[in-house]
Formats: sequence, C-alpha cells, structure tokens
Amino acid sequence: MILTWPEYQALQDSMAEAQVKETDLQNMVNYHQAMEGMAERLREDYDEEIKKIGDGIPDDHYVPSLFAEIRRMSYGSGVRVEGIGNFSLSRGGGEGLREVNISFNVEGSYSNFKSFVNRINNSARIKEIQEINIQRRPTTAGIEFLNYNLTLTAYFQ
Amino acid sequence: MGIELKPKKEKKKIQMPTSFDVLFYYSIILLLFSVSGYLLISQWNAEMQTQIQNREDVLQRLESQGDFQSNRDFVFEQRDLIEDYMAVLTERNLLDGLFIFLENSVHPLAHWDSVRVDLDSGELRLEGSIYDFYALEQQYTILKEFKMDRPVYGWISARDLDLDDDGEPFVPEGVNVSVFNTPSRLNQIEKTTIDSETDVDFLKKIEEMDYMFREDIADRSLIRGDWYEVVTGEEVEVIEEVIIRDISEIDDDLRISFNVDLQMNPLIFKQ
Repeated sequence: MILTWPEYQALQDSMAEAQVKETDLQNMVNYHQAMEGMAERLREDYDEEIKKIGDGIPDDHYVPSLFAEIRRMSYGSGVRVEGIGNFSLSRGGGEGLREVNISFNVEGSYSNFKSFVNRINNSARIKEIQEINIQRRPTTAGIEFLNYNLTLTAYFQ
Repeated sequence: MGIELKPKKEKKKIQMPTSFDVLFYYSIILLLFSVSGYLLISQWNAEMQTQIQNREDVLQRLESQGDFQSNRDFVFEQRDLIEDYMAVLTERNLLDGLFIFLENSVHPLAHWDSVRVDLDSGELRLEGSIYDFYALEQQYTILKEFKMDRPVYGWISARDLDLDDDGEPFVPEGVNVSVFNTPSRLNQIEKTTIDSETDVDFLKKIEEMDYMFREDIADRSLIRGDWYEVVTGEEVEVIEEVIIRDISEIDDDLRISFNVDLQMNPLIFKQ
C-alpha cells in the first residue's frame, strides 16, 4: 500500500500530463494546418494584393526612384519642382515602418498644384504631405503663380 | 457374554479459523493485490511516460519543421505588413479638406498671401489682407463657423444591410460603417453604392485578408458574400480655434493686413 499509493498518484499525474500533451499536439497540428492554409491562400489568392502592398511600402527607402517619381508627377500635372534632393530617414508610421522625409519646392498654378497633390495621393507608393507652406508670387502676364514648400513622407519596411 | 466397551467416539469438532487466521489470509490477499496492482500501475505509468515522450517528440518535430517555420514567418510577416499598410493608409493626412476650406472660407474682399499648415498638429496660419475692419469681422465669423460635409468611405457586408420597402439596401442605424474596421465617427447615411473600381476591389481584398488574420480560419464565412461600399457623411466643425493677430493698416492702400492662427479639426485631413 505504501508503495502503490504514490505510484497511483504518479499515474494520475502522468495521465493528466498526457492529456495536456495530447491537446497541445492537436492544437499544434491544427495550427500547422491553419498556417499552411493561410500561407497557401496568401500566395495564391492574394499574390497581387501583396505585391501592391509591397509597392506601397517597399522593402527599402529607394529615395532616388522616389525623387524620380515626384518629378514625373510634376511633369504630368504642370507644376515645376525645385530643390529636390534633401531627405532624412526616421522610424515612424506603423510599428515596423520607417519613414523618408523630403522637403522641396513646387511652383505652379493652384489648379495644377491640386492635380499634383492628387497624383501624390493616388500613387502606388504611399506618400503623405506633412507640412505645406503656400506663398503668392507677383503675377506675371496675368497668370497668378504660387510657391509651395512641401514636406512629404513616404514609408518603407 | 462379555460386554465390549467401545470408547465413545468423540465427534470431531469443526475448527473455526481464528481471527488471526482471517487476518493473515486477508493480508496475504491484500498483499497479492497490492503487489499486482503496483506492478500494473507501474506498467501503465511507464506506458504513459512513453506516450508523453512520444507526443513531445512529435511536437518538437512539428515545431522544427522547415516548411512550418517558413509558413509561419511568411504569414506573420504579411500580417504585420498589412497592419502597417492599413494604419498608414487610414491615418495619413489628405489635403482635400484643406483645399475645400481654403476655397470656401475666404471673404470676397480678402485674399491670402501665405498659407502655412502643419497637417499633423492641425495648425494653420493664414496671412492676408482685407478691405476694411467690418470685412475682417465677417472674415473672422466665416472662419470660426465654417462647417464641412466630410465624406467617409467604408465597407459593409451585405449581411449587415437591411432592405427598405422598395427592396433597396440601406445601412441600419447603429451599424459601424468602417474603413478597415475602424469605427466610423459618422452616423448619417448619404448613399449606398455597389463598388466597381479596381482599387475598390483591392481594398476589399485587403479587408478580407485582415479578417483572415484576425478571425480563426474556420470563421471565413465572415468574409464570404457581397460587400457594399458605403459613403457616409456628417457636417463637421472645421475650426476649433481662431486667433487674429498682427492687424495693421496698409499705409498707401486702404486695406488691412492681418494674420490668423487657426487650430483645425484633425478629422478634416483624414479620409
């Protein structure tokens, strides 16, 4: 009796532990299957969206291509971009995201500037205007031009 | 005749076991049971330990499987990226509200020479000139009381819609119309349209992915079915504070130059 009782207790403990391990194992198998299913679904069904998100928040800062894109957008909307080139990198946005902050000047009419801003907002790579400073310039030949100083932020992983 | 005397046969008495014997036999039986029980339990215990060990081994094997780890890393990486993407997309500042405000809040007798805005803090400084003090007072009132209809684009599952008497879907009161499930601050339903654009499909798919991560995979029924794009809107106060500064008369002109510091409602810059 002296020997059997502790052994019986040990058996009870082992059975409980085995039950826990069984549950763990089952959960692990389910988790494994869920992960496999999710990964497969992401790769097959959402491949395009993942690529688009990657374009919106690329894996590096790619500053030169960012500058090139801003220039291209300025040509398309009829404004002139000046002083582009300075930038700073910082951590921000989402938890794992980093930011590229750039400041530059834009010159053009109000309606063209709005078109430029619209292009910025709708471009694949997400950009956000943080600060804007608009100054009137003396009217030339009846056309009113404005100077805009912009601070813009783009994100990368 | 002689009488044979036979000794009377003594009747054999049945000997009852003594209580000591009973105890002895019970003890023997108990001992046998105990020993066999002990052996049996020990064996079961050993089997249990083997089972536990086996399960631990399987668990470890599963956890260390290369494809499991790569799948898990991939899924979590994508989830984090989608969360960041959604946060940036929904929290970023847009200038549409600012343009509407600038175009519609200027007094006919005023013009702005300089506009400086910090979209994060919502601070706006306007520098300009105006015809006279009466007009300046009116300009102040226009700025202070400026209101704007702010549209908010959201998503709603067809399951959450009700049908009106004509069979047209509408969003019931109290249902959150959301962009990526961030609660809408608005409650007035302006219109409900079925989406058609590519970007709309993209956003819808992102929302599906978000559901996939947040809900158990078994709950995928949540994302099945039709989704509607809804536009809700509400009149919001644009300006929280207006302070007019540096008023001065322009000498050779009858106009008045002035600066205005405004604290804008940050909602104006959000989608």
